Amino acid sequence: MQNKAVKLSAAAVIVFFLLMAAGAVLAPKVARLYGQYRALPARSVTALIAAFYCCVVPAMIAMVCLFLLLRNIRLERPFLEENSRLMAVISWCCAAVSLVTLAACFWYLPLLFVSAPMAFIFLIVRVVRNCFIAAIQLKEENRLTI
Amino acid sequence: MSIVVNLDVMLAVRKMSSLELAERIGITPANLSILKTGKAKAVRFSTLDAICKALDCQPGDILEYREEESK
Repeated sequence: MQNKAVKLSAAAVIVFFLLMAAGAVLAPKVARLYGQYRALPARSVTALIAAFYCCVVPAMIAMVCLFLLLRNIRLERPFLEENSRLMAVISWCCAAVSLVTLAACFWYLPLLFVSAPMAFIFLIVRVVRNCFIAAIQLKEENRLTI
Repeated sequence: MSIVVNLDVMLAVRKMSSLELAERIGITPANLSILKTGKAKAVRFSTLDAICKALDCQPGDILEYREEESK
């Protein structure tokens, strides 16, 4: 059952990665269509496109890290130092997206609804990482208990 | 770590090899090596009990407290 859950998560990560890649190609067109639909000023549309492209890089890095994390879980190696480092990278990617969208808020305020949740996810991932680090230390101590 | 494990001394006294001791007390040679080389973080009472039985000794014969030199 756990294997199924990991495979499902991995599939979701791959799908999201492909969507991000497609988004990177279609972003200017979609943003302009959205801008026309909502009658947004040109600077807002530009801010949207710029924010998206700035966020695509950390987002794709986070997806790769998630995939590597899931691979280690599938190989029954959840308590590795490497996993703790991957979670740190994911958290900083979330922080980067939060900061970029916060900056873009000056031109398109609704991006605040992306910035705030991303800051929250950054905090959650950091705390979960702290739990992982404690678990790794406990496992190591247990390994050295004869 | 200030606790020193003097297994080598007792093994020599009892003329027993590490491998034989590991087999008798039911732990792997690798784990016994961790104990001997001072890398162990903790020892279970059950393991200590098995070692003392196998080597016919007291815990004090194999465990020693040495105050660490101040830096």
